[in-house]
Amino acid sequence: MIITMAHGSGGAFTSELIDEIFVKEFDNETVKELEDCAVIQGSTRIAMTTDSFVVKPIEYPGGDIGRLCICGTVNDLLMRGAKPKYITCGFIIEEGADSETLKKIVHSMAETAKEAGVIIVAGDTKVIDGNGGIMINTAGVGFVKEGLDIKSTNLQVGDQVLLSGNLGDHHATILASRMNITNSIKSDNAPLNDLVSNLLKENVTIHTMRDVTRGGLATVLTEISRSSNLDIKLEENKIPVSSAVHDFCGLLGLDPLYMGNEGKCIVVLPKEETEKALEIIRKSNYGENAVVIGEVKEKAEDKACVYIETEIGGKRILDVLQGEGLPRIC
Amino acid sequence: MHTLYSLNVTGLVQGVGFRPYVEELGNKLNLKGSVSNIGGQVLIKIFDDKKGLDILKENLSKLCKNNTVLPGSRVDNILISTETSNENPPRNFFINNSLNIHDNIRFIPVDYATCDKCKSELLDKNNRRYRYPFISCVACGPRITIINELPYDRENTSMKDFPMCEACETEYKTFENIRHYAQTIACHDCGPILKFYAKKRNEINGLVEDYKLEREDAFSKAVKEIKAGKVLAVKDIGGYHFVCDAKNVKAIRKMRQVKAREKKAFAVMFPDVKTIKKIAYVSEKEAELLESNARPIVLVRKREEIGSDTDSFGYNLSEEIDDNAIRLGAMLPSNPLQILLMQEFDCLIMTSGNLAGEPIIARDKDIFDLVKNGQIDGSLYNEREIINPLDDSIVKVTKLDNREITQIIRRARGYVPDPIKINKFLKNDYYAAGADLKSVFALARKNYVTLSGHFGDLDDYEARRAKDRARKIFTKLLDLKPESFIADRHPGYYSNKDTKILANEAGTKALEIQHHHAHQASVMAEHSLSECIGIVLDGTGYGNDGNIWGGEFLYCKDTDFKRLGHFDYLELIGADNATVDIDKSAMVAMIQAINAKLVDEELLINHPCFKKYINSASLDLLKAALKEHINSYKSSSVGRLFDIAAVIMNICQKNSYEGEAPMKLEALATRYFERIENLNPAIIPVIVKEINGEILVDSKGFMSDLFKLYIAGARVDELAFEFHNSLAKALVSVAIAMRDKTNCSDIALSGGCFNNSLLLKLLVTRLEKEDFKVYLNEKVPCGDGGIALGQIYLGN
Ligand SMILES: [Fe+3]
Ligand SMILES: [Mg+2]
Ligand SMILES: [Zn+2]
Ligand SMILES: [Zn+2]
Repeated sequence: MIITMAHGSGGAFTSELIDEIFVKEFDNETVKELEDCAVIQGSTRIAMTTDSFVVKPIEYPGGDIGRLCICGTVNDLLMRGAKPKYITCGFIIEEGADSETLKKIVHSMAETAKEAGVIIVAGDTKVIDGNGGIMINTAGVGFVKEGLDIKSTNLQVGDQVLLSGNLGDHHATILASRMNITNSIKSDNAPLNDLVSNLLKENVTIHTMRDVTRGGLATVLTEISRSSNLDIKLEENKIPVSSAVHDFCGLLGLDPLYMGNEGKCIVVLPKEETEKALEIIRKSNYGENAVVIGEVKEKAEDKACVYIETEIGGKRILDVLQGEGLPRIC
Repeated sequence: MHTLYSLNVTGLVQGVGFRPYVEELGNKLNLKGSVSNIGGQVLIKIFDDKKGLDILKENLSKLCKNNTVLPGSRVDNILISTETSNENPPRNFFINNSLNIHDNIRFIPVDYATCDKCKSELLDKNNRRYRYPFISCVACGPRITIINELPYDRENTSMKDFPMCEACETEYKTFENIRHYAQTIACHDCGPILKFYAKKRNEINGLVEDYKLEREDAFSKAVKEIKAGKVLAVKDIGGYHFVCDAKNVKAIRKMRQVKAREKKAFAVMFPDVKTIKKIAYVSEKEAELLESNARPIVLVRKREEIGSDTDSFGYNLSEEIDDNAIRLGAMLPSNPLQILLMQEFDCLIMTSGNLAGEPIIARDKDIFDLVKNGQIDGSLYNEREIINPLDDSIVKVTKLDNREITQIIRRARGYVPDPIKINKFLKNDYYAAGADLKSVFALARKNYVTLSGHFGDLDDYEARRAKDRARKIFTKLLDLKPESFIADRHPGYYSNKDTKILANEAGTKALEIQHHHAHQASVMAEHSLSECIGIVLDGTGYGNDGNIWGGEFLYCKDTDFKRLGHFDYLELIGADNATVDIDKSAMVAMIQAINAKLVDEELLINHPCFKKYINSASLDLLKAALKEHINSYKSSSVGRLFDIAAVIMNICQKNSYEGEAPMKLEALATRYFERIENLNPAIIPVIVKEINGEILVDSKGFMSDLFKLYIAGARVDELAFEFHNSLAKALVSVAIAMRDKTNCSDIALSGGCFNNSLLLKLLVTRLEKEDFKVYLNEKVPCGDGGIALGQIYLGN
């Protein structure tokens, strides 16, 4: 079935779409009520976030926009130490989309939600002019334990920076798909519940966590360095990149430090917690390649910054991502 | 009542023995009055004696550049005011204690190489400063590198840690002594001491411990170590050098490890010009530069005749040193320690003491750290602090048909901070940030522009720190308060962001200048032009259309410019990596040539550099990336064309250091050119066309023709030469087209590509034949080290 403007009219076609695709997949009591809003159990401290997903192509090796829109929101909640609970989703579907594709995506959302332990409690659909694209907005609610406050201003000199795995896979996957190139690279899109909940369960002191998405590691760390007003030192030879991604980036001149990921996070914590945390992360789902990549330092000059010690001993300063692909070398 | 004449003297009048000279003169003329430093100027007061005043003034006016009366000094202007005063005249003429008042323009003296008088004292057994490695006088020694504050008095320099002994103090106070009022006066008894530091294994307990020596022991140990093939740090005026025996291949290889420098050439120090002549041609002008006060590294043409009658100094000396370049970086000793060292060696590698990509090391502690962790074998140093680090300067002489010009490649020790005068009065104080690579900033007031030394790539942490520090201290020394700020337009430049912040703090907005506009303006600033056409060829600059420019034909008038044309855009993939992995860039250019049906894909298989891509996943990936514009940009850079041409001719596949491929291309072409009798007509038909009013050079066609000639079996050196020759010819058509549009025959050439002496010569010769008046950079680098001057010239 091809989706038309009629599917967005609010009438019978819309009901068909909702019943056939969404309710079927998001199988839970709250969503089945089909009321104007969902009424759910609460907590004293809740975390909330929202994110829109417009990735093209919508299906790619290792995942699709459905999996991505759950992971993105769930991971954002997790990074503040919240336990993700509920998700809402808004679909913006361009005329001409194939309902089979939509079905696959919704199925993938449901599967990922299950994996991430969240319930999709409400949703919305709109159909607009266009070329068959699908865009999704998700919002998420999570519960935060009393006394837990994970944020970048907690940073202390001497803290270690842990990275949960290889960089660049998602970004490289999307670029390869856009170029119609087939290779062995797969997206890393994944919910990081296991990793985070294991750390919290074992009472590891965490100063800050961030998921390393758009803008890449360099951008995320620069933001943290600025808000904490401390330097962060990285070591080039410790940054993990798979050899397939390394070769791909080498040829295209891409820097994995600036590439987006969808299932990677950094954890910054006191030095004495490092070994324990590393062990826990490595045993958790999606954390097997975790490594220590750097350290928090007293800022040496007026402005705090992130720098990477290169293999030949230089110190290259990293900054947030600046418009892609412009050379500076003369 | 008395008549009081006040003379305000500007120019290089501090740190050159100017006050003692005036004092002596004043007393000879029996004047009543005083001389004093005020900020960066000198104030002379004379009571009543108009005739004496005139004689004094006449004498001072003779202190022009390169005068022999008071070497190093230069009087630019004398402003005289007259008043009646009821002050009582002094009984004689004396040096008044320095006054510090804010005034107009300050001049900070450059560092001076050891003068002949000091050199002969240094080597005179009977002199009390015999072999004293820090001997200096009013006419020589460090200046800017040790100055913390003006006026230039001992307590404002790092010499303040070394109080004068009685003997020195007597000399300091004695008229006609060469150290009368010499702020750097010192001797064995009171001045800095030569020290040696290394690590040594204790024979008994096997522990590694500190090993320290002083004075002659330190010196002879260092000599012994260098002779044994060790790599040492040796402290110079402006920073450390890393030093090793230039004839010891193993030592040179070790040096390459220390600096993580695979192939790039090292500079070599020789005792005198005579020795350099054994392995290189040294023209009169080059000798003059080598022996000039700045003692820069001069890139001299190496002798290459095989089996020449040279002794141990065969051509073999160089290959490990300079990656088979056509020119060798040669220099002479500029300080007393180097003079003493060069009594023991006839050549030493004398390279900037820095680690890959970082600024020169000037702090003793940083060198100790390198010794401690075994990166270098020892340090020969002293404890006089270097306040303003400066590298050695680098220059070369390019012979044009009718004249020789000096091209400055790195403007640093010996030139900085001598200001450059422009014919334009700035409305307030300016700061211009320059570019991000070979970063040099400028500070300016009225019509004087002071440029800093080079800081390297501002992506480097230490480089950024060094630049920040230097900006602060230069601003203080020059007593400026910048109210106008200028930066390059490149949104990815640190200097762009940083300057915007500085401007914001000063309550204003930074002016952004297009990179190549600034290049051309640097020539205009040097030659006081207000209007000219220009050809700017370089590597990378951010263009006003968001593309990367670097082969630009500009018409500049006052502070505006119009882009009359450019080299046709090529699409390149991969930001900075496209400038390093040049075989990829060449492959990408070839794909575009294939797509444009200029080259048959089948032919690529016959080419040694493209073979590895053909029928591989890499080629598919590059093709797809071009089609989808993944991490790609459009570029009119001629620097990249040099890279691509070098790959096409299989001369070089990777720029392991900046400019490697273009320099190798130039070397091959030059060797060929020197052998041929007449200039060939250019054989590659580089097409210059006009589309929508824009003058465009067909880059794709140029590269395709080159490729086809190479595949057809052309001689590589001839082809390398023809690349230059055809390029020059095409540029003449461009210049003529520009003249037709503007009626302007004044043409400026700038941009890093004009460091290429062959291209410059071929182009200038042709342009002058066509009656163009050609202007070039001679005071600042044509590369990015000159950008800041151009930026300032475009201020207001
Ligand atoms: Fe440039
Ligand atoms: Mg997000
Ligand atoms: Zn002297
Ligand atoms: Zn003394």
